[in-house]
Amino acid sequence: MKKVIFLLLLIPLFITQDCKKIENNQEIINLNANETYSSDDYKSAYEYLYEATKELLNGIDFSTIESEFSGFEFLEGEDVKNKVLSLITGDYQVSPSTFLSALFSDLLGGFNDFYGYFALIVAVALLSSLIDAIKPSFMDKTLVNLTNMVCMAVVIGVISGLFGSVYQSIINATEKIERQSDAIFPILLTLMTASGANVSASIFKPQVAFLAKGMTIVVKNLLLPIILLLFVFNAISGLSTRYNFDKGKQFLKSTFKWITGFTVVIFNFFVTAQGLSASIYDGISVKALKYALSNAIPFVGGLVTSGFDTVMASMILIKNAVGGFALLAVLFTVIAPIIKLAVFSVFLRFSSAVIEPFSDKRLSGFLSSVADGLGYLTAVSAVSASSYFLTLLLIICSVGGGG
Amino acid sequence: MILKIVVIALIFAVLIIYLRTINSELAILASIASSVFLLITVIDGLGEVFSLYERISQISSLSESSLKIILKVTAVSYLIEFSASIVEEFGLKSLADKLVFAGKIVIILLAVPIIESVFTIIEGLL
Repeated sequence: MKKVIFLLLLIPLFITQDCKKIENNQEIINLNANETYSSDDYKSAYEYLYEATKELLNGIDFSTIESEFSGFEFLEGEDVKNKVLSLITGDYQVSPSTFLSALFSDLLGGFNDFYGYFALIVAVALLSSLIDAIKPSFMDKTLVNLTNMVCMAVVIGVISGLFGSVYQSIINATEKIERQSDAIFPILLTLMTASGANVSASIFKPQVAFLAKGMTIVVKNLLLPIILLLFVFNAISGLSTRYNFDKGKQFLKSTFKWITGFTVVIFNFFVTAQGLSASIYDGISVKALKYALSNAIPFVGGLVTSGFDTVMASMILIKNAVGGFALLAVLFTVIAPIIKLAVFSVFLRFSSAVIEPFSDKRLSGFLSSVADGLGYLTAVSAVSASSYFLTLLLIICSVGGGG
Repeated sequence: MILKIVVIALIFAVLIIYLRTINSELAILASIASSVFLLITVIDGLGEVFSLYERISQISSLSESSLKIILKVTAVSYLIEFSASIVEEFGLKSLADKLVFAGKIVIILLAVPIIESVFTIIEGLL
């Protein structure tokens, strides 16, 4: 009984000792927190990284891409190097309100441009309806058809001119994306290699070549001519009641869909399957290198490894900022033609809807079919822009450096 | 206005039928006079249509010439058709056909600049 009481009396003693230990450990933790992380230490680390990044950035030659990217509004008068630096530091931010207001003004401007053409189409449709209205009574059929053909020719001429300008803007945007990718990818791949993503860079090289050249060849030499042929078939069908190209149009539409689908599948295979495993190889190789550095170099191995980390981190920052810059550029390249396409499409469908009750069926049908063709133009610009966009995102996300 | 036109047309119809029994040449003249009279009756309305088209041509200033050509073509087709119907009414179908043929040639000649520009634009696209 006495032994039990004695043991029972000892238990609080152990508990007290443990509490003291916990208290002491807490003090140690508190002491460590205060010693390691002061605000001055943060500031000096940021400034050190900033200076290292700026030094590395100054060593990169952006002159090859300066001419290609100099005309963009988001540069705000700065050169490419300074804009990349402001992206790294976070000084540059795209304001949503500014972006939306610019978008809205483009939309309104587009509608304003098409207003006159809408008035013309309604006027022609009214004239055409005047002729059609008395056709059953005494007008010779061929005379009515001839007069309607003249009315159609005017509308086709006007719409052809508008379609031509939109078509040309898509070609210009596609060529611009090709030139941008030719300019930016060598720098990005070099930065990827410098940031430790050697395997990723070697995998992205053929993919980038396919994207830059192959995609443009497919778009310019296959997809765009198909869209143009579609428009020509629509125009001839509108001019003549005898010649109808419905089967031809269906063939062109299905060919377009097959080619686009095939191209996108091939591209996605290149991008996703190979890019996923590459970053793992890069991470392992960099970790191995850092281990070798820290153990092979006596005394200062740790310092060398820290310096290596700083350079790698700076390179990754620069790579991501250059990639982000290229993303902004492609967005600003394709946004204007796509808005123009959207406004033109809405204009055509609205005109077709307004004149349908009283005009010749061929006229409203022509407008509606041209609006359908614009959907294919939108798909073409979306395919080339999104492929480039996706490749840039993957390059940005290829961390390297054991990340 | 439409009531006035209908009444005038019916009066002229009765007059022409009566004149055919008396003198066929007078009936032809009456037929032509009735067409002219009806056209004059609606000319005010046409004037409003033309002012609307003038307003539209001002809005779409780039296509003023195209609108003029279409108006000319429409006017020619109406004129040809009225004339051909009058001629046909008096049993001269071959003459009416020749008139329509001539009208088609005139319309094609008027439309040549438009069709030329359409093919030029399409050729430029291709």
